[in-house]
Order: sequence, then C-alpha cells, then structure tokens
Amino acid sequence: MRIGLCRALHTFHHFALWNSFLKELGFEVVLTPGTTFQMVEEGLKVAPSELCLPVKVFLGHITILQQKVDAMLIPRLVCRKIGNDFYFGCPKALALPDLTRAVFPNLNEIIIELVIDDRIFSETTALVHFARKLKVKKEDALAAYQVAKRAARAANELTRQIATPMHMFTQRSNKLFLKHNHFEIKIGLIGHPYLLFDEYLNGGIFKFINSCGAEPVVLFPEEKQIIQNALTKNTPNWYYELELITSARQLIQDKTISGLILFSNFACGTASVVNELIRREVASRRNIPILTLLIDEHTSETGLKTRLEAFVDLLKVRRQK
Amino acid sequence: MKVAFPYMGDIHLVLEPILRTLGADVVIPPEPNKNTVAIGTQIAPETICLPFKITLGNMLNALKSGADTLAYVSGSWSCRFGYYGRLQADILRDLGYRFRLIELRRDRIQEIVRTVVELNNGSLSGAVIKTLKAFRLGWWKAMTLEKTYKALRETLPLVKQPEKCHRLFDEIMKEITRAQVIKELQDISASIAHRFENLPRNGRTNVLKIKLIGESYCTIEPFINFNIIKRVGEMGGILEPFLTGPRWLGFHGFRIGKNEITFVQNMAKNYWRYCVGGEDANSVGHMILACREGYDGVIHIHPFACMPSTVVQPTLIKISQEYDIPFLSISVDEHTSEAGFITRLEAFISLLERRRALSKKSLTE
Repeated sequence: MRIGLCRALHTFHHFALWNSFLKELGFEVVLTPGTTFQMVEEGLKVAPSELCLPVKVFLGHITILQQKVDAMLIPRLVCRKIGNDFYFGCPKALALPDLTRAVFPNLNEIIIELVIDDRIFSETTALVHFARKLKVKKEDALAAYQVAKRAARAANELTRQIATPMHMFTQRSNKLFLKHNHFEIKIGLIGHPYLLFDEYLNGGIFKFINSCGAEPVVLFPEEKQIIQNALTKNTPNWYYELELITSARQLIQDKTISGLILFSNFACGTASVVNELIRREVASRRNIPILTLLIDEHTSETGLKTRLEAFVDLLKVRRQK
Repeated sequence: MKVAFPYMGDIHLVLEPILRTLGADVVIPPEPNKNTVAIGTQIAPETICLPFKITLGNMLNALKSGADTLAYVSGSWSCRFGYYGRLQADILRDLGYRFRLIELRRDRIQEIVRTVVELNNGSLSGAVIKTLKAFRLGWWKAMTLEKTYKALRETLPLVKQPEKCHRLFDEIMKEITRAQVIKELQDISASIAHRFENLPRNGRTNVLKIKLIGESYCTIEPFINFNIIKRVGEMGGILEPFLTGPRWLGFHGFRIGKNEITFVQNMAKNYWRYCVGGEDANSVGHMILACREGYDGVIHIHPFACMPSTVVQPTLIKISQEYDIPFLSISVDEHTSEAGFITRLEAFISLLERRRALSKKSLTE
C-alpha cells in the first residue's frame, strides 16, 4: 500500500517521525518532489484567493499526489502541550483535512487524518489511532512508534547541527546553505521551515544573501529552550510560532548578528502578530535593524534581491560607524 | 474604576447596566467611524484583520475619554481574536497610556471574581446578590433588544416609508437605553409588535429570506458591514443574521444558549469536524440549516485575510453547490467602498428575485 506525504507544511517538521513510522509498518511512502511552478499554478487554480501561499502550495502538491497513492496522510495539528500550557496550530493547520476534502471531493476515501491533540491524547495514541485506520494492530503500531521516535530524535539533532531540515528528505541539499565564506556580516533569518527551506518558495534567498556579501544564520531552538520561552508571559498561543519567537530571542542575544530578516508570506495570519511581537522585543532589547520580507505567488526574484542588497548595504554602513 | 470595552453592535446596551449594577463606572467609546479606522490602521500591525484595527482605534478613544481599565473577551485559541487583548494593550502602553487590562478568559475567573468582590468593598455575599441582579437586568435588556431587531427585520420590507420604520426603531432603542428596571423593559417588550404593526404597508407579499453568516464582528457591527441588514430590508428581503450582539454575549460570554451551539455544530459535522474559531462551525451549521429551512440565499461576510473564514470558504461553496442555493461571499477591509459593496448586494438580490420568479413559473406551468 502506498501512502502519500506532501513535501509542504508540517512535513518539514515531522517527516522523520512519520516516514519511519510508516516504513516500519511496511507501507511504501510516496513523497512529492520539491515544489515546482506547475504545482503552485495548480494550487492557485483550486484554492480560494485569500488563502496563504503555503496552503495553496500544499493543495498543489495534492494534485500531483492523487494519482500516485492509495492513501494520503494529512495532519490535523490541533494542539501540543508545552510545559503546563496548550499551544494550538493556526486555523489552517487545524482545518487542513476539512479544507482538502472541500477542495477535492473525489479524494474523500483516501484522505486519512492524523489528529494531534494533546488535550485528549498523546502523540503515541494519535499515531496508533492513525495506524488503526490502516488496519494495523495496536502492538505493531506501538513498536513502530518506538523506532520512529528514535529516528525523529536523530533527525532533530542533525537539524540543529547543520541548520536545515532538508537532510530529512535528501542528503545532498545541505551544501547549498553551508557555504561559510566567513563574511563579516551575519544576518539572522527567522521563518517557518516550510517557507524558508522550500527551494522554490524561498526564491533563492540564501544564495542572494551570500552574493550580497553576508552570511545567513538560521537557528533551531532546542525543546528545553522552547519550554522555557513558553513560560514567559508574552508568548502567542500558537505552537510553531513559539519556535520562531525562541529562535528570534536567541538570535538577538548573539552579539555577532548584525541584522534580522523576518521571512513570511502575505496573508499569513500568525505572522502579523508574531512579527509585531518580535519587532517590539528587538526594538526594546537590542538596537538591531530588521527587514520584513513578505512573499506571495507574484514575488519576483529581482524585487527580492534589490531589497536584500539595500538591507546589506545598510548593515555595512552601520558597521563602519 | 472606569471600565471600557470594545464597541460592537449594541452590546454596550447590555453590558453597561450589568457593569454599573456591579459597581463599576463605564466609559462607552464613541461609535466607530472613518476616523476610528484611520487611527487604528495607523498604529496596528499592517496585515492584521480589520476588526482588530477598528477595536484598537475604539479603545484609544475610550482611553482618551478617561477609561482606566480595559476589558476584553479573550482566550488561548488558534484564531487571532484570542490575542487581541494582549497585543492591543501592548500597543497602547507603548503610546504612553496607563491602564489595567482585564482578560475575560476561563483560566482567569478567580481574578474576575476578585475584582467584583473588590468593587463591593470586599463583601462576598453583597457581590453575589449584585451579580444576580445585574445579570437579570442584562438578560431582560438582551431579550428586549432581540425582539426589536426581529420586528425591524420582518417589518422593513413590508412598510411604505422605510424612514418611519427606522425612526421607530431608534425611538425604541432610546427607550431601552433609558430603562433602569425590569418592569419598564417588560412594558417595552410587550408593545413592540403592536407599534411596528401600526406602520402603513406597501402591499408586498413576496419577501425574500436570506441568511447572514460569517465572522462575528462583521455580522454584528453595522459600521463595518454598511448596515447590511437595514439595506437588504429596504431592498425587499429579510436578512436573518445567525448572530446578534446580545446573542453573542449569551453564546460566548456566559454560554447560556449552549444547546443551540451544539445543535448547529453537530449539523456541521459532516463538513467541518473541528471548530477553529471565528464562528466557522456555526457558519457552516447555520448555512445547512438555512438550506433546509428553504431560505432563498446566503451571504457570508468576513474581514479580509480572516484566518478561519478563508479556510471555511471552500466548504461553504461546496454546500452551496450541493444544496443548490445562491451564495455571496464578501470580504471587507479598510479600503472597501460602500458603493461597491451595495452594488454587489443589489446584484445578488436581483438574482434571488429572478430565481424566485422562475421557480414560481415552473410550479404553475
């Protein structure tokens, strides 16, 4: 049985876990290739215009996937428990299976939800429930979960060392981001992995920053730090955004970072709150320039590059003073 | 303590007497207008939804008129609404205002109770009695308001001079605002139907029935939806909103009408399994309800880039195809012009009228 996964949204966070879980149970995992122009076009055709770009791209991936698989894993991230509090996914993450079903009525049969809701049950139970729908015994699912958990931990460790989750999908793409030319200027990049590391969506931002004479820095906070930050008073209630806030807080404390780029997409609901929050914190704690890059399906490479060049120039001038 | 809360439809008519009975002073900010939007847009994050901007401008006005405490309904949930209170307070504090923030959320109930007891000089029994009294008055105000809205909606398409109808409505609203004891409200409530019946009729018998669903602020606040209920009334249709100010309070603030919520959300279960906030499951449920009850059309109104409303849109379109019911989705932001809005509304109404005429013809043939 072939089970499909889209290389979009949550997969950038949880691919290692889901992949090894499904493989351990003996299923064949079909992962869509990286985003292409055609996929974005397909997504734009079926999605309502006001949706955010990553979800449109996700729907584009599904159009590719639908002919190739017998079942699809579509996550519904409702809430995760961090510390004593519950942190939710954004509405689009919460309603993803419902949205997909509404857009593709013919896929009703093969969409299988993976509901993650820590208020009701743990991650283990969530995966066991998911496996039940594929007619897998509980004991087998539990054993597979143990293996998957280990794989996920190893993948997370690697992510932190080389600062990109791309190694989960392929081993080769890491090199793209790791050209350490020892530039004087380091720029901290803050953004969701599904936007920042999607080679089509990011518009080659890592390459551009390098060619402008600066080094991009991406941080993946450890779980401990995320929990610590969840305890402070001024955090939003969203799960993935907690990661962004934590990495922003760490980047601000790093004295070698001379500028920050907030990389998000137009009409991202959580970004309007989180970017504001990060900007306020940066303004009050450390006097450091900040550039907000909002991309959408119409963003051109030239426009992106011009803004980056101007930003790097500004940082250089500040450094000379 | 001078409390202020965001302006939304007529909820201040219900909340003001409640808070006053509890012993607090209430500052009611001026009604939202173009200026409020301008101020709010200036100081709010750029890409946030329009209700945030309007309520922010509104609270700024309230602080200018002397409020020292801001009260928000809030909570930890996936919609941005749960974060309104804290972010707005941050922005306003940065502008130099000093105030106290009360978040009305489930895990802060202790704090709220303590505040009420504090207002009664520390007497718990006094606070309980006052609370009961306050909520009884609030309940009656809400019920009278509901009855007035209903009478207005149902009479407006049938009267000869709509201005008279509006004048009568304003008159009754003033009376409700003035009323201090439950007896007065009961008298008003009893006379409403009679007073609306006395208006001269235009002889129309064929009235369109349309359901209004969408995000709560857009559905309730007449400023942001360009008075859509009265407009449709004048065009000859009854626009039935799924939510009104008083009902919003009952549904969400104190959860009085929980049965209706569960009923409607169960109805939506086939299409929408999880409620994400922003009235999405209620919208879906009410739309299905409207289809079953034989409404002529459904209007969905939401702020631009509202997170839950954009995700729920494909589902609503799917329902409208399955049940074969005309569906109009309007998103509003600070640049929406009244003329464009009204044009789309008129086009939709004339579509519904044609559909009705055609179906009648096919019935007689």
